[in-house]
Amino acid sequence: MGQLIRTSLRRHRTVNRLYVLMAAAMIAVLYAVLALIEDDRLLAHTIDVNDLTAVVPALLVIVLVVILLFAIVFLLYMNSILIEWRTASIRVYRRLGMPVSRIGLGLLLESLLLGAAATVLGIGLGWVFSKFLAMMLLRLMGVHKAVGLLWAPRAAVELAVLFLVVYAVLGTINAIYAGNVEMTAESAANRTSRIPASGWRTLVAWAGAVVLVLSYAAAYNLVHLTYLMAQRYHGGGVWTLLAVPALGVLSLYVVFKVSLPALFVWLMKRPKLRRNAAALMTVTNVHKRLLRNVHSLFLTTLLATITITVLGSGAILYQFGQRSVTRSVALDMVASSTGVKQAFSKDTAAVIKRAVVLPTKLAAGRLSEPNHATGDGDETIYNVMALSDYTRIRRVQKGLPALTLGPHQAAMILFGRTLYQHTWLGKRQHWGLTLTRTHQRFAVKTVTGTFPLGDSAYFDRALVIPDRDFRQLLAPADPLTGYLLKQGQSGQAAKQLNDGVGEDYVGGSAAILTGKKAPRVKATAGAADFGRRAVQFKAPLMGEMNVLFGMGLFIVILLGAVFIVATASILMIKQLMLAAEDHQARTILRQLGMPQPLEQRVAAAQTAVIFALPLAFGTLNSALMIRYLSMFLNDPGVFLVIVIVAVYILVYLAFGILTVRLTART
Amino acid sequence: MRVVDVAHLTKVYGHRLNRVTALNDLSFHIEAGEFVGIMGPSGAGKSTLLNMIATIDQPTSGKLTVAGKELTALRDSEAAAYRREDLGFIFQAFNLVPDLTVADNITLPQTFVPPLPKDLDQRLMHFANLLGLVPLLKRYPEQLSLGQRQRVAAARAMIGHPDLILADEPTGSLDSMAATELLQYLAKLNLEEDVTIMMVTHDAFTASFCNRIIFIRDGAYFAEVTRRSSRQAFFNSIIDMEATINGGDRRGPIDPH
Ligand SMILES: Nc1ncnc2c1ncn2[C@@H]1O[C@H](COP(=O)(O)OP(=O)(O)O)[C@@H](O)[C@H]1O
Ligand SMILES: [Mg+2]
Repeated sequence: MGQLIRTSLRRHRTVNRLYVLMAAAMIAVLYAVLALIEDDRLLAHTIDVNDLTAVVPALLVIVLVVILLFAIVFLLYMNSILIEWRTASIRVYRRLGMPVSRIGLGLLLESLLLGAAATVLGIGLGWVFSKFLAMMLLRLMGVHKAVGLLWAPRAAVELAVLFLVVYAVLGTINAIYAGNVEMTAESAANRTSRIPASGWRTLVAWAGAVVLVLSYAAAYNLVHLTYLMAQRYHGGGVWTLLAVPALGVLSLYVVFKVSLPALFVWLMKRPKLRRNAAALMTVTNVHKRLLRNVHSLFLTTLLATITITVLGSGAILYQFGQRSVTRSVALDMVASSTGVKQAFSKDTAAVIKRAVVLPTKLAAGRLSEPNHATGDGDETIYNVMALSDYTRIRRVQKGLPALTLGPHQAAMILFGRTLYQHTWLGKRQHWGLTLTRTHQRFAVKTVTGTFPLGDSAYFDRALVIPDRDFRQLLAPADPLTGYLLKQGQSGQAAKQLNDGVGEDYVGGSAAILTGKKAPRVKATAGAADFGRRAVQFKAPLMGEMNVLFGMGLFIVILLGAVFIVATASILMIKQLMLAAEDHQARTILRQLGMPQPLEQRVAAAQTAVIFALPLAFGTLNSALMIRYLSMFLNDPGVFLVIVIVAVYILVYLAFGILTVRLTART
Repeated sequence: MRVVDVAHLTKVYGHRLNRVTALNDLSFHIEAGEFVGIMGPSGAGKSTLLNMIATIDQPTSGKLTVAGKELTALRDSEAAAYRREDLGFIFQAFNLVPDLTVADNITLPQTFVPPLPKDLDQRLMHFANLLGLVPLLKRYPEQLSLGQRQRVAAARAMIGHPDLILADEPTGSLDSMAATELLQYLAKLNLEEDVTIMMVTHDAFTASFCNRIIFIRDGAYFAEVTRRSSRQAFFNSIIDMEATINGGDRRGPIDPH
């Protein structure tokens, strides 16, 4: 029996080696995360950063569980394809009368042997990887601290026991499977079933493709579609939100299972293609791979979709977070007039590099809309400013949009402008704005979401009006001051001052809003009052945001990397197994005088198609999903999404090249 | 003109401990237009010899010249070009590509490298007609009987109009009718188009279609028989020689009279 195990290990060594390597990689990640969790001193650094990061250990445990589940599912899946691959030889052993118990025991021992190799290798790799992982976590969270390799014997033992159990279960599954292998079943050559191109299949193929295209179109217009359905049918919005992705996934499966193979069968019959050996062999091989790899291709596509979406939207959220901090506090420090009094001392004066003052006046205003649509009758407090002051601030505040105004026109600046500017159907509206106390009337020309000096300095909205109108406006002044601080001093200043800073309030009563009373800044809050902090610092906000996103990014990158590599490995192993099966065909072609370059071209082309399919569909899917998610953000960045897709392509390319190399070797 | 020149050809398989000498200092040559049979007991090295002439396998020592080309000196790409342009090989194990239809299996080698023969479709129909493959063209190899597969392999070897056809037991899986038809066609090709043919067989009836039979035993030249008169006489002398090779010792070329 030792002989039997040895031969089978030797015969499948390329695939076995990859299998062990992949399992080891996962165990390595698991070990590193577990070692991180068990290292209390190290985690203490992260908990210290701020209140939010206290959840780091809990999050790490969740990540650990997710990767663990993924690893077990992955091993189950890999095991099932590996054992299926060996069905033929098991069948021969059984036909020759080898007892099932011996075959089963052999498979169990083999599985344990592979498991032991993977575990030992994995823990070794994990030990090396742990340093990198810990450094990454700390660095992303902005903690600068050197870390060594993490040796956690408990983690190692736990993982070793766990995975030996997993492999024992896999071996048992294989043994049971071997006992049930039919002795009379078909031979390997017949496994690629030759499905006749019936009219029924053609219909399904077309239907799948059409539904997929339709659901892509629907996903592209999901916002409008949801709104339309919500208006037409009760609960239609939710149903649409659920139905579009469900239909998409379903039709994608049909496309992989029926439409694409049908397309390749059609291609295989083109006379032109049949007269080009490289094209014919490529199409034939891709067709065979499509038939034999439907499930792994489909799963890979789904995982690629999820990974790119999560990484991509994470990136968008990160950018959004950074921008929203800048949007909230545009300069290093922003203060109201009371804030300036509170903050001003010798210490602060020393760190100030530059100050800009933005004079504003506080006035209540009412919006009117001729058709009584969104916003009609809306009353609130505005910080009114002159266009020339606004333009002056633009010089120190990047990203503040340019404005031009005619006489009696105004620009309204509000938080969450999407709700006003883009009504559900994307129609623009024509608002008028009346300052209720002075009865000055303006046509609202534009609406933006970017406040000069940052939105946290405002009670509610801002209004930019022509200089002449501003001079004529009689209202209480509320000057805002923005400071640029000296390099590296802002964090320090913020720490010193932050605790002593109070709040400003302004009344929001009906009397003030309707213009009977003038709004006035005060230090104590009433029930309906608007409030703001008198002094705002950018550095702590930015720091908190960075830590938060750094933590998120760490988790997302970790999971993303596991998913990317795992899916690429599944594809690679399946291609290698098919390549081993095709070995005879390649030998025949060589014997018939097929030139070597042609053979390589076929191998490269078929591998490229197989790797490109999940990537292309995954990218398309996640582009649509990210597009949908980004509707709720102002002006999201796509650069990082492109970077992530590029990383994906690079990883797949590397695996693809490795596949072609190994294919040539088998 | 000598088409095939085999000089002191030796092939040793395996490593130090486990050596098999498949060919042992084998020498002979074949003139253009000959239809030569190779006979000998199973394991004598007949397939090994054919594989080496086809550049599928490399000799351990000795020299192999085909149509003036020194085969052992060819680079890989040159050997591939030689295989697809000069040679037609009917393999003992058929060597059909399982994922291609019969039609594509037959035409594939002609499409490896441009230019594409203009009359490929006509040629395909010609050989399909000749070998009774017309109703099978859209099938896949695993859907054929062994005899049908062998005919596909024969069609594939002949469609490129090679100067030299190597056939390794081409009638092994055919019934006597189909075998006779294929052999008659090979003989016709040999006569009318001057194609040189080397055919391995263990069957005296099949061998009687040749002009000359080379007998090898244990990888070495044993004897040869040349057809001088009727096929029946030739057949009888082949039977005689087979009896000798299985019992007696080495003899020179015999005269059937
Ligand atoms: N690839 C190989 N490795 C080792 N021995 C081989 C190989 N191919 C053939 N042989 C041996 O060489 C001898 C000749 O084989 P072969 O040429 O196939 O005989 P036959 O005359 O029956 O066609 C046999 O003893 C065979 O076992
Ligand atoms: Mg043989």
